[in-house]
Amino acid sequence: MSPDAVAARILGLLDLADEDPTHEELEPYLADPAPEVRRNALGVLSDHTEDWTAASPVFAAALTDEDPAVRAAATRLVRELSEVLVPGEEFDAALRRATTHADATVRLEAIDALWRHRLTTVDELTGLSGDPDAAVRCEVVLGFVSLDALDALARAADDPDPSVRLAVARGLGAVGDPRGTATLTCLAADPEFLVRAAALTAMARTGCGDEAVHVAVAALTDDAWEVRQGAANALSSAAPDERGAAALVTALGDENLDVRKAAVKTLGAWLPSRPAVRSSLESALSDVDADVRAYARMSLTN
Amino acid sequence: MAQATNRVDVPVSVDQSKCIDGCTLCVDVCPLDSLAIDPETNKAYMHVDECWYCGPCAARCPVDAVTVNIPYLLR
Repeated sequence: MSPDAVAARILGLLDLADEDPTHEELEPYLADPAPEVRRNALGVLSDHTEDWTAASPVFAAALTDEDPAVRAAATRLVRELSEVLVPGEEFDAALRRATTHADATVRLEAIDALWRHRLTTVDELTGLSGDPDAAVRCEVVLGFVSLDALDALARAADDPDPSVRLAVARGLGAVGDPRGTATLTCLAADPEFLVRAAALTAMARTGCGDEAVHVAVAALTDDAWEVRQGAANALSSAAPDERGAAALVTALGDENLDVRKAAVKTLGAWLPSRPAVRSSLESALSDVDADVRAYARMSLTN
Repeated sequence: MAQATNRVDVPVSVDQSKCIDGCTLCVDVCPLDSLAIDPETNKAYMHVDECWYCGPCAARCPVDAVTVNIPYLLR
């Protein structure tokens, strides 16, 4: 199709857009041989449709369009319109086709739409968890999180890519189930420091058992301040004990202000059951950082 | 309002080879009326050197002919 013919088709589409076109009126443009026309037709459809049940499969089907620009427009629209798209047989089938597309962005978006619309299962996501692209596997992890699939998350924690393990650690924190602590304890020994930090931070949500306390106390001496901060946060969900209190008091002298802040917050929460930490909190009132001083003051006055 | 005398070095540049003769989407969406249609070529151009860098002109262009040159410090 010549550029002039494409321009004429686009102008025809734009004229139609001024008249609130129906889905049927847009159909010739949605199936146009020129990708520019198809891409713009998707935009016009999203602007004007009132029948989302009929329109939803169109956006899902466009995820597997042969043209990358149309696919990019479809992926953007499927995400943007997530709250108004209506799942149905065609919509679901189109998304499932997209999960095996060669384009990783399409696979990622399809998996995202499947779990956001609650159309997927742990078994289906497990089948997709072997994707060669790490970003897609991260999306699968988010799907597991949406289903509170702790066993599947535990298996994903062995992923060779740190970004996936990071997603698992954050996901277990989001689920907040104490049964996730065992996986988090393993991730707290991860070679990647951001994974260790995320795992320890997540323990603050899942709870910190005896073994986890041991790991968190040891992590308070980690080289990375992010990990030390995560460890101080993790201990906030643990039962106050002598070992943890001593490690947190030491952390009050950490060179990093975020670590000191996390330590002072946890010690503040422990103060009612361990009055011995009061003197340490009082010494934090003269910290060089205003946040640390403020949290110490709040702990001592509340 | 200052007139844009140099049509290349302006916040919004329009690729004249892509711009569709007869389309006015970018002109219609510009909140500052900074874009206009050249009566000689029937293509869009930036006629005043004022821009909020809001972006709908580029986002709505059906042929990706519009580029908003966002200054480095605003990116």
